[in-house]
Amino acid sequence: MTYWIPGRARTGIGTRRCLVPDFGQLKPEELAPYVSTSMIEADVTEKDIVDFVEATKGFAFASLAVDLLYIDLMKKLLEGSERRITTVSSYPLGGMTTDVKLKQVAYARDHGAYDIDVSMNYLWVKNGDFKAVEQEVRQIIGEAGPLKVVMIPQTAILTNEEKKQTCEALLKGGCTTIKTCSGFGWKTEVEDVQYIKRLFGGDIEIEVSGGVRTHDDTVPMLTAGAARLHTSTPMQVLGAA
Amino acid sequence: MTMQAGDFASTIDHTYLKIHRSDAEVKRICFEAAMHHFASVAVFPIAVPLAASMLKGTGVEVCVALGFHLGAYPPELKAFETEDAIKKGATEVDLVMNVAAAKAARWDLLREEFRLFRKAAGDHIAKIILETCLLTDDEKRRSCEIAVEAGLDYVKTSTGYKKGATVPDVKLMHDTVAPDLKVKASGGIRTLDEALAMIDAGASRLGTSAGVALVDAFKERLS
Repeated sequence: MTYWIPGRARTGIGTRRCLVPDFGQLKPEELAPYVSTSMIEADVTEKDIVDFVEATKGFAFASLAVDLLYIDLMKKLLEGSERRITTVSSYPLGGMTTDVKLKQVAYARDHGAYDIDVSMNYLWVKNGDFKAVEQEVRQIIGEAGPLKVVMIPQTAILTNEEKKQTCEALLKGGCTTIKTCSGFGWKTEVEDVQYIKRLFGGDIEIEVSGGVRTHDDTVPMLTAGAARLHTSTPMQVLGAA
Repeated sequence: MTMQAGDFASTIDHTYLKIHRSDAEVKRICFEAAMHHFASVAVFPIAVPLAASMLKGTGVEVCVALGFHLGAYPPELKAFETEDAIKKGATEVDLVMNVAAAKAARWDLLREEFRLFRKAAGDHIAKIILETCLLTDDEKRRSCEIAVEAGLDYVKTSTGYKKGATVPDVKLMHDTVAPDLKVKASGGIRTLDEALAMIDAGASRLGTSAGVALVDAFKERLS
């Protein structure tokens, strides 16, 4: 179920046509690879993680996201499967130092996570110190090795100018994937995805998190150019509830 | 009311744990804390160096919020985070405990976490945050007992990112840990009556962002 719509790619050759699926028509199993589902809360126990893996077995989700505490258990539960583990650093508030982030990233790398969502140092962003943003992400990517680094700008608290400068700094530092917000009250607007897409085209892959709870939330985000969605209500998002 | 305004002010950890402002805001709360002689300024680790330089010589402690706000990573990483914050200028450390360990009755995990936290904090005041709104009374009590065993300095009710402190919780915690440990009430303390009720229930410290208004209200009531 695909159709051609005009899209602008930053290839230097002007407008070209891209193949984009009609996301509203996708069946749950076709939508699942665009969706990461998470089990991240202060009171999530080992039993919750076991239930989570069991409950998400039916669909080929892009990844399953858990806190650092549960990577080892996830690894054991997912042995022999292709499923990827997403984890988080300085999450969800972005208040931790670079040294602590590096330690958490190294832990995630050594314990077999596929990617790590790292909250930005919001003080630097609000102070306008984008050089520091760039230097930090370069260090983090250096430490991560094969672990994919996804930075979280927290678009919900940024002006458009701050969004732009943050993305520029991340790109300079070598980061090509962002996750818009951390969730936990911070919500992504479709306009944010459109704005970043318009400025950066294919240079930055956009993952959306925060406020994606139903199928109705999902389709506009993907149509706007999001590559992946994060949600804690996967069945509602797939329209399979 | 036998308490003096200065005594009241010295219970307050002037708290700035919002994520959408800049250094200017950190400086403002440091000024306020120094002016009113609050016990400490509570900030995220990324603001510790600035707060430490601002508060030098004022007698106001630099309190850092660690593990915020989910506390769901291994104890060795929390220990590292504690040492890192102290190295950067923190003088008091508030850490979110592994709440899930209490929910699953994995007291061994909590014991190990608290032990490593105590060790990493050294001589600095170490406060462990229970996030009481997620716990049963029995889980709160057991967590407090383990905090006493580990020789921590404070048990603290809440991160402020969920439901905050309640008077019954502060009483329960105080009954469990006194006189070895003290209690810090935090989250949702906005009015003078709420603040005084927490102190009555056994809190020695109040974590609040309303400190200036509370001290003003206290002075007004005295006069």
